[in-house]
Amino acid sequence: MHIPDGFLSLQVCALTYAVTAVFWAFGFRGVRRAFDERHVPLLSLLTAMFFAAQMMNFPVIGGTTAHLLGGPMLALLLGPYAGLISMTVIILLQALIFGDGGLSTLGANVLNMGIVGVFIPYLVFTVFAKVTKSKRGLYAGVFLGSFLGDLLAAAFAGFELGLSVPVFQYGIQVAVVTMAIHHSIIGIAEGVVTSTIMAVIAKSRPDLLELPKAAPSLFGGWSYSALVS
Amino acid sequence: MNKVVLAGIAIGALFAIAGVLWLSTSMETLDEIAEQLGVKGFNLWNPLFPDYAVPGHKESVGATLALSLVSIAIVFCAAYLVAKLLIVRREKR
Repeated sequence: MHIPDGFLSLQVCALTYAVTAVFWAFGFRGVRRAFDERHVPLLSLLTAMFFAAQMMNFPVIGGTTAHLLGGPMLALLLGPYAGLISMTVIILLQALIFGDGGLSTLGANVLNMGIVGVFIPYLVFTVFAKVTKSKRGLYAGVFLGSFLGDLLAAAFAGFELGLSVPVFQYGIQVAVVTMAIHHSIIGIAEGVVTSTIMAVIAKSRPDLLELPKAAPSLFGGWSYSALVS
Repeated sequence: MNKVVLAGIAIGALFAIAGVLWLSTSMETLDEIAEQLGVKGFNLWNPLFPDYAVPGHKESVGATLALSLVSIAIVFCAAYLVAKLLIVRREKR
Protein backbone atom coordinates (compact mmCIF):
# COMPACT_ATOMS: atom_id res chain seq x y z
CA MET A 1 0.00 0.00 0.00
CA HIS A 2 3.08 2.23 0.09
CA ILE A 3 2.78 4.77 -2.73
CA PRO A 4 6.19 5.54 -4.29
CA ASP A 5 7.37 8.90 -5.63
CA GLY A 6 5.94 9.62 -9.07
CA PHE A 7 2.55 7.94 -8.60
CA LEU A 8 0.65 10.99 -7.30
CA SER A 9 0.19 14.43 -8.81
CA LEU A 10 1.84 17.40 -7.12
CA GLN A 11 -1.55 18.74 -5.97
CA VAL A 12 -2.50 15.45 -4.32
CA CYS A 13 0.93 15.26 -2.62
CA ALA A 14 0.51 18.82 -1.28
CA LEU A 15 -3.08 18.26 -0.12
CA THR A 16 -2.29 14.99 1.67
CA TYR A 17 0.77 16.57 3.35
CA ALA A 18 -1.42 19.44 4.57
CA VAL A 19 -4.10 17.13 6.03
CA THR A 20 -1.48 14.89 7.63
CA ALA A 21 0.37 17.88 9.11
CA VAL A 22 -2.77 18.87 11.01
CA PHE A 23 -3.03 15.35 12.46
CA TRP A 24 0.70 15.37 13.30
CA ALA A 25 0.23 18.59 15.28
CA PHE A 26 -2.69 17.10 17.26
CA GLY A 27 -0.88 13.74 17.52
CA PHE A 28 2.29 15.16 19.06
CA ARG A 29 0.24 17.20 21.50
CA GLY A 30 -1.99 14.24 22.38
CA VAL A 31 0.95 11.91 23.02
CA ARG A 32 2.77 14.57 25.06
CA ARG A 33 -0.29 14.98 27.29
CA ALA A 34 -1.22 11.30 27.76
CA PHE A 35 2.14 9.54 27.85
CA ASP A 36 4.56 8.90 30.67
CA GLU A 37 7.66 6.72 31.06
CA ARG A 38 5.57 3.51 31.09
CA HIS A 39 4.50 4.03 27.50
CA VAL A 40 7.94 4.54 25.96
CA PRO A 41 9.24 0.92 25.76
CA LEU A 42 5.85 -0.39 24.65
CA LEU A 43 5.46 2.22 21.91
CA SER A 44 9.02 1.52 20.71
CA LEU A 45 8.54 -2.25 20.78
CA LEU A 46 5.19 -2.19 18.96
CA THR A 47 6.63 0.18 16.36
CA ALA A 48 9.57 -2.17 15.73
CA MET A 49 7.33 -5.26 15.62
CA PHE A 50 4.79 -3.81 13.20
CA PHE A 51 7.62 -2.47 11.04
CA ALA A 52 8.81 -6.09 10.78
CA ALA A 53 5.28 -7.43 10.31
CA GLN A 54 4.77 -5.08 7.35
CA MET A 55 7.64 -6.87 5.57
CA MET A 56 5.45 -9.98 5.31
CA ASN A 57 3.28 -9.88 2.22
CA PHE A 58 0.47 -12.40 1.89
CA PRO A 59 -1.29 -13.51 -1.30
CA VAL A 60 -4.63 -11.76 -1.86
CA ILE A 61 -6.39 -11.73 -5.25
CA GLY A 62 -5.13 -12.21 -8.80
CA GLY A 63 -1.60 -13.24 -7.84
CA THR A 64 -0.93 -10.01 -5.98
CA THR A 65 0.05 -9.59 -2.32
CA ALA A 66 -0.66 -7.23 0.56
CA HIS A 67 0.63 -6.73 4.11
CA LEU A 68 -0.88 -6.19 7.54
CA LEU A 69 -0.84 -2.58 8.77
CA GLY A 70 -0.63 -3.03 12.54
CA GLY A 71 -2.45 0.28 13.04
CA PRO A 72 -5.49 -1.22 14.81
CA MET A 73 -3.39 -2.92 17.50
CA LEU A 74 -1.35 0.25 18.06
CA ALA A 75 -4.56 2.29 18.37
CA LEU A 76 -6.22 -0.09 20.81
CA LEU A 77 -3.20 -0.38 23.09
CA LEU A 78 -1.87 3.17 23.04
CA GLY A 79 -4.54 5.33 21.39
CA PRO A 80 -4.80 6.64 17.83
CA TYR A 81 -2.47 9.61 18.32
CA ALA A 82 0.28 7.25 19.47
CA GLY A 83 -0.58 4.92 16.57
CA LEU A 84 -0.14 7.85 14.19
CA ILE A 85 3.29 8.71 15.62
CA SER A 86 4.33 5.07 15.51
CA MET A 87 3.15 4.57 11.92
CA THR A 88 4.89 7.81 10.89
CA VAL A 89 8.21 6.48 12.23
CA ILE A 90 7.64 3.18 10.39
CA ILE A 91 6.65 4.74 7.06
CA LEU A 92 9.43 7.36 7.14
CA LEU A 93 12.16 4.79 7.87
CA GLN A 94 10.76 2.38 5.26
CA ALA A 95 11.11 5.16 2.70
CA LEU A 96 14.57 6.29 3.81
CA ILE A 97 16.22 2.90 4.39
CA PHE A 98 14.45 0.61 1.93
CA GLY A 99 12.86 2.92 -0.64
CA ASP A 100 9.44 1.44 0.19
CA GLY A 101 7.11 4.38 -0.36
CA GLY A 102 8.23 7.84 -1.44
CA LEU A 103 9.14 11.06 0.32
CA SER A 104 6.85 13.24 -1.84
CA THR A 105 4.07 10.74 -1.03
CA LEU A 106 4.90 10.46 2.69
CA GLY A 107 1.90 12.64 3.56
CA ALA A 108 -0.41 10.38 1.54
CA ASN A 109 1.05 7.16 2.96
CA VAL A 110 0.75 8.44 6.54
CA LEU A 111 -2.79 9.66 5.81
CA ASN A 112 -3.81 6.21 4.55
CA MET A 113 -2.00 3.88 6.93
CA GLY A 114 -1.31 6.12 9.94
CA ILE A 115 -4.54 8.11 10.13
CA VAL A 116 -7.33 6.18 8.38
CA GLY A 117 -5.81 2.79 9.32
CA VAL A 118 -5.50 3.83 12.97
CA PHE A 119 -8.38 6.19 13.80
CA ILE A 120 -11.14 4.12 12.11
CA PRO A 121 -10.43 0.94 14.16
CA TYR A 122 -10.30 3.00 17.36
CA LEU A 123 -13.54 4.82 16.52
CA VAL A 124 -15.39 1.58 15.66
CA PHE A 125 -14.16 -0.12 18.84
CA THR A 126 -15.19 2.91 20.94
CA VAL A 127 -18.71 2.79 19.47
CA PHE A 128 -18.94 -0.97 20.15
CA ALA A 129 -17.64 -0.44 23.69
CA LYS A 130 -20.43 2.06 24.33
CA VAL A 131 -23.16 -0.09 22.77
CA THR A 132 -22.30 -3.66 23.76
CA LYS A 133 -21.84 -5.14 27.22
CA SER A 134 -20.55 -8.57 26.17
CA LYS A 135 -16.97 -9.69 25.57
CA ARG A 136 -18.06 -11.18 22.25
CA GLY A 137 -19.45 -7.80 21.22
CA LEU A 138 -16.16 -6.10 22.10
CA TYR A 139 -14.16 -8.54 19.99
CA ALA A 140 -16.65 -8.02 17.16
CA GLY A 141 -15.75 -4.34 17.45
CA VAL A 142 -12.02 -5.12 17.32
CA PHE A 143 -12.49 -7.31 14.24
CA LEU A 144 -14.82 -4.93 12.38
CA GLY A 145 -12.70 -1.89 13.22
CA SER A 146 -9.51 -3.58 12.00
CA PHE A 147 -11.21 -4.78 8.83
CA LEU A 148 -12.70 -1.37 8.05
CA GLY A 149 -9.42 0.37 8.89
CA ASP A 150 -7.54 -1.67 6.27
CA LEU A 151 -10.34 -1.46 3.72
CA LEU A 152 -10.70 2.32 4.00
CA ALA A 153 -6.93 2.87 4.05
CA ALA A 154 -6.72 1.04 0.72
CA ALA A 155 -9.75 2.93 -0.61
CA PHE A 156 -8.10 6.24 0.35
CA ALA A 157 -4.93 5.19 -1.50
CA GLY A 158 -7.11 4.36 -4.52
CA PHE A 159 -8.86 7.74 -4.24
CA GLU A 160 -5.54 9.60 -4.19
CA LEU A 161 -4.31 7.61 -7.20
CA GLY A 162 -7.61 8.21 -8.99
CA LEU A 163 -7.32 11.95 -8.36
CA SER A 164 -3.83 11.90 -9.87
CA VAL A 165 -5.00 11.68 -13.48
CA PRO A 166 -3.20 11.74 -15.92
CA VAL A 167 -0.47 9.96 -13.95
CA PHE A 168 -2.94 7.19 -13.10
CA GLN A 169 -5.39 6.89 -15.99
CA TYR A 170 -7.86 4.49 -14.34
CA GLY A 171 -9.66 7.26 -12.48
CA ILE A 172 -11.16 7.25 -9.02
CA GLN A 173 -13.84 4.58 -9.44
CA VAL A 174 -11.59 1.83 -10.77
CA ALA A 175 -8.65 2.65 -8.49
CA VAL A 176 -10.79 2.77 -5.32
CA VAL A 177 -12.69 -0.44 -6.10
CA THR A 178 -9.55 -2.38 -7.12
CA MET A 179 -7.56 -1.34 -4.05
CA ALA A 180 -10.49 -1.92 -1.67
CA ILE A 181 -11.40 -5.37 -3.03
CA HIS A 182 -7.81 -6.60 -2.97
CA HIS A 183 -7.17 -5.29 0.55
CA SER A 184 -10.46 -6.61 1.95
CA ILE A 185 -8.74 -10.01 2.20
CA ILE A 186 -5.88 -8.61 4.26
CA GLY A 187 -8.48 -6.66 6.27
CA ILE A 188 -9.99 -9.96 7.40
CA ALA A 189 -6.51 -11.18 8.37
CA GLU A 190 -5.85 -7.92 10.24
CA GLY A 191 -9.14 -8.40 12.12
CA VAL A 192 -8.27 -11.97 13.12
CA VAL A 193 -4.69 -11.09 14.12
CA THR A 194 -5.71 -7.99 16.13
CA SER A 195 -8.51 -9.86 17.94
CA THR A 196 -6.16 -12.74 18.74
CA ILE A 197 -3.38 -10.47 20.06
CA MET A 198 -5.98 -8.53 22.08
CA ALA A 199 -7.28 -11.78 23.62
CA VAL A 200 -3.74 -12.97 24.46
CA ILE A 201 -2.86 -9.63 26.08
CA ALA A 202 -6.16 -9.56 27.99
CA LYS A 203 -5.29 -12.95 29.44
CA SER A 204 -1.54 -12.58 30.04
CA ARG A 205 -0.90 -8.83 30.56
CA PRO A 206 -4.29 -7.13 31.14
CA ASP A 207 -2.43 -4.17 32.69
CA LEU A 208 -1.25 -3.19 29.19
CA LEU A 209 -4.87 -2.61 28.17
CA GLU A 210 -5.34 -0.22 31.08
CA LEU A 211 -2.62 2.24 30.04
CA PRO A 212 -3.92 5.77 29.37
CA LYS A 213 -4.54 6.22 25.65
CA ALA A 214 -3.48 9.18 23.52
CA ALA A 215 -6.84 9.81 21.86
CA PRO A 216 -9.01 12.81 20.95
CA SER A 217 -11.31 13.73 23.85
CA LEU A 218 -14.18 13.53 21.35
CA PHE A 219 -13.76 9.73 21.24
CA GLY A 220 -13.84 9.38 25.02
CA GLY A 221 -11.79 6.84 26.93
CA TRP A 222 -12.46 3.26 27.93
CA SER A 223 -11.08 0.77 30.39
CA TYR A 224 -10.92 -2.84 29.26
CA SER A 225 -11.40 -4.23 32.76
CA ALA A 226 -14.48 -2.06 33.26
CA LEU A 227 -15.84 -3.18 29.90
CA VAL A 228 -15.50 -6.92 30.57
CA SER A 229 -16.44 -6.88 34.26
CA MET B 1 10.02 -5.12 30.43
CA ASN B 2 13.55 -5.75 29.10
CA LYS B 3 12.73 -9.43 28.49
CA VAL B 4 9.54 -8.45 26.69
CA VAL B 5 11.48 -6.01 24.50
CA LEU B 6 14.12 -8.62 23.61
CA ALA B 7 11.45 -11.24 22.88
CA GLY B 8 9.56 -8.73 20.74
CA ILE B 9 12.66 -7.83 18.73
CA ALA B 10 13.41 -11.55 18.20
CA ILE B 11 9.84 -12.14 16.96
CA GLY B 12 10.15 -9.07 14.77
CA ALA B 13 13.36 -10.46 13.25
CA LEU B 14 11.55 -13.71 12.42
CA PHE B 15 8.74 -11.73 10.74
CA ALA B 16 11.29 -9.77 8.74
CA ILE B 17 13.25 -12.81 7.56
CA ALA B 18 10.10 -14.72 6.62
CA GLY B 19 8.78 -11.63 4.89
CA VAL B 20 11.88 -10.81 2.87
CA LEU B 21 12.99 -14.35 1.95
CA TRP B 22 9.74 -16.27 1.49
CA LEU B 23 6.54 -14.25 1.70
CA SER B 24 7.10 -11.28 -0.61
CA THR B 25 7.69 -12.98 -3.93
CA SER B 26 4.69 -11.48 -5.79
CA MET B 27 3.89 -7.86 -6.54
CA GLU B 28 1.58 -5.76 -4.39
CA THR B 29 -1.77 -4.70 -5.89
CA LEU B 30 -0.59 -1.12 -6.34
CA ASP B 31 2.54 -2.20 -8.24
CA GLU B 32 0.43 -4.52 -10.42
CA ILE B 33 -1.95 -1.66 -11.36
CA ALA B 34 1.02 0.62 -12.05
CA GLU B 35 2.62 -1.97 -14.30
CA GLN B 36 -0.62 -2.37 -16.27
CA LEU B 37 -0.66 1.40 -16.83
CA GLY B 38 3.04 1.63 -17.55
CA VAL B 39 3.52 4.03 -14.62
CA LYS B 40 7.01 3.89 -13.15
CA GLY B 41 7.76 5.06 -9.62
CA PHE B 42 11.10 6.39 -8.51
CA ASN B 43 12.91 7.40 -5.33
CA LEU B 44 13.69 11.05 -4.59
CA TRP B 45 16.17 9.64 -2.09
CA ASN B 46 18.64 6.82 -2.73
CA PRO B 47 17.76 4.15 -0.16
CA LEU B 48 20.64 2.22 1.40
CA PHE B 49 18.95 -1.15 1.00
CA PRO B 50 16.45 -1.11 -1.87
CA ASP B 51 13.87 -3.93 -1.84
CA TYR B 52 14.74 -4.85 1.74
CA ALA B 53 18.01 -6.50 0.71
CA VAL B 54 21.74 -5.95 1.07
CA PRO B 55 22.92 -5.05 -2.45
CA GLY B 56 24.62 -8.10 -3.99
CA HIS B 57 23.35 -10.44 -1.24
CA LYS B 58 19.64 -10.64 -1.98
CA GLU B 59 19.37 -14.39 -1.43
CA SER B 60 21.71 -14.57 1.58
CA VAL B 61 19.93 -15.61 4.79
CA GLY B 62 22.80 -14.25 6.91
CA ALA B 63 22.76 -10.83 5.26
CA THR B 64 18.95 -10.70 5.51
CA LEU B 65 19.08 -11.66 9.20
CA ALA B 66 21.69 -8.98 9.93
CA LEU B 67 19.77 -6.34 7.96
CA SER B 68 16.50 -7.30 9.69
CA LEU B 69 18.01 -7.06 13.17
CA VAL B 70 19.74 -3.75 12.43
CA SER B 71 16.67 -2.17 10.82
CA ILE B 72 14.38 -3.33 13.66
CA ALA B 73 16.86 -1.89 16.18
CA ILE B 74 16.94 1.41 14.24
CA VAL B 75 13.13 1.62 14.21
CA PHE B 76 12.99 0.75 17.93
CA CYS B 77 15.55 3.47 18.76
CA ALA B 78 13.82 6.06 16.54
CA ALA B 79 10.42 5.43 18.17
CA TYR B 80 12.06 5.46 21.64
CA LEU B 81 13.74 8.77 20.89
CA VAL B 82 10.54 10.39 19.59
CA ALA B 83 8.51 9.23 22.61
CA LYS B 84 11.23 10.33 25.03
CA LEU B 85 11.54 13.74 23.40
CA LEU B 86 7.79 14.27 23.67
CA ILE B 87 7.75 13.37 27.36
CA VAL B 88 10.82 15.50 28.14
CA ARG B 89 9.18 18.46 26.40
CA ARG B 90 6.08 18.02 28.55
CA GLU B 91 8.10 17.84 31.77
CA LYS B 92 10.02 21.01 30.90
CA ARG B 93 6.79 22.99 30.49
